[in-house]
Amino acid sequence: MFLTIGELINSTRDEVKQALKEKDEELIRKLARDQAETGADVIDLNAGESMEEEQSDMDWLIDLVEDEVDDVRICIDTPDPEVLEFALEKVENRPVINSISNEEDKSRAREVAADSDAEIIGLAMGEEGMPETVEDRLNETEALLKKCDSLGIEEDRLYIDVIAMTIGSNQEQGRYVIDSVREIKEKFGVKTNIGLSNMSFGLPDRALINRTVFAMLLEAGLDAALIDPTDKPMMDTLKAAEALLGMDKNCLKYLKYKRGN
Amino acid sequence: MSDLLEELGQAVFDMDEDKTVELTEKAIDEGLEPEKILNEGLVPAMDEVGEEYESGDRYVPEMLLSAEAMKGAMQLLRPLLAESGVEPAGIVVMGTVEGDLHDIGQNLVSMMLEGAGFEVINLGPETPAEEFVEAVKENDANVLGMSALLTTTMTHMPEVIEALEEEGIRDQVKVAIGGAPVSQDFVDEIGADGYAADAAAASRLVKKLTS
Repeated sequence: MFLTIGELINSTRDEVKQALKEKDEELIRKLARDQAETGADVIDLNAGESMEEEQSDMDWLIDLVEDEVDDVRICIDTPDPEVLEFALEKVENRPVINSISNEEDKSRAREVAADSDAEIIGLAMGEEGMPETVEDRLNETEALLKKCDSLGIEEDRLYIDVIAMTIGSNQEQGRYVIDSVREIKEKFGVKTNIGLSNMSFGLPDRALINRTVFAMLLEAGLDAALIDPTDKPMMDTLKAAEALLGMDKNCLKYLKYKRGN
Repeated sequence: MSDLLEELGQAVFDMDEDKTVELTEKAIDEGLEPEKILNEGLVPAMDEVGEEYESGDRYVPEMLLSAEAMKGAMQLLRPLLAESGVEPAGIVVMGTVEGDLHDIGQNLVSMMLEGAGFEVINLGPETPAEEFVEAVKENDANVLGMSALLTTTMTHMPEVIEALEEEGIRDQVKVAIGGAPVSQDFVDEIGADGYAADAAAASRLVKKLTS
């Protein structure tokens, strides 16, 4: 089952930043509802933009989103281990943690994640910085799996994020992330994730680039992605790819999707 | 303006590095002053490139190619400019803050600034506060430019400003910031001197801060 994580409630986006400032409940409710209705399995919440208010903003977001969408799963998107702990305590359903990595300053976050039963996005990066090649990503994955193992984090809770980089400045990166998904799954048998939209930075018609690489990543075996589920062609691509790749028995999900549209 | 300089500017605009270098060499051989080649050939071309980018008619890969062409020309001109005692428009220390690996934005800004005649010391991604301060002191910089693309790393910007204050050099340097999560509110909050939304705006901001 592919995991669609709705990315829209993120405080770096202007409308969300504004809504947090003005406590605009309606906008947050609408974003939550629209994403759930268009196919998000999990809704990402990021309140990191205002540093001092992050915990109270996160508190407010969780209340609103859980009230608006029945049985919603939350993806807790925070750099602050205290906010993470707070949100883990608060959410109703099993959350996803976004994110841990090999970086030293993530050590507390790794411990907090270990103590929870949440699913976890683990970035394939560490002190060396952003990974460049497939090999870099494999090395970071191996190191992170070791760290997780020693903390008692079960592998099936993990989604390794392959780190999307901009093809506008390095045209190898499309190939690198696709091969990384394939090889990480082959070598380590662990699930994979990506935050897609970075890839198309600085190019026209970003949605086209995003959904095209999305289809390629799905073929390589991608298990989860942070995407905008209200982007209809994007979700069309997901449903068609699932049918094409034998992930949709008798194409029933695809048929249901098309009838619903 | 001479035809040659016009042709040179066109080569930069057209993203043709080989031709840009060739025409720069030709201009030098013909005895044109390096300062004139820069200010009347290259700078206006990069201004136009910046305008196109800002209006959405030019995209990142095309920006990078024009900047590469500009860089090729600057490699020939820089020693000559230094020799003839031409001062840069200003000295700018640039970098992405600690923990942040996104450097495309700040590289674009660096290129635009070089294209506008500034000397840029590009410290690259993941620059700790001390390194910024050290570079400002060492180069006697007029402007410190910081970039952060993450809400998790923009928190290092006030640390850099504090480090400047501790060294007693905050008054000597203007602080300009940029990156997706950064806003005018944030400038006010941390006591920076300005922010720019893209590379062309950054070039204008630095010109304003140094005038």
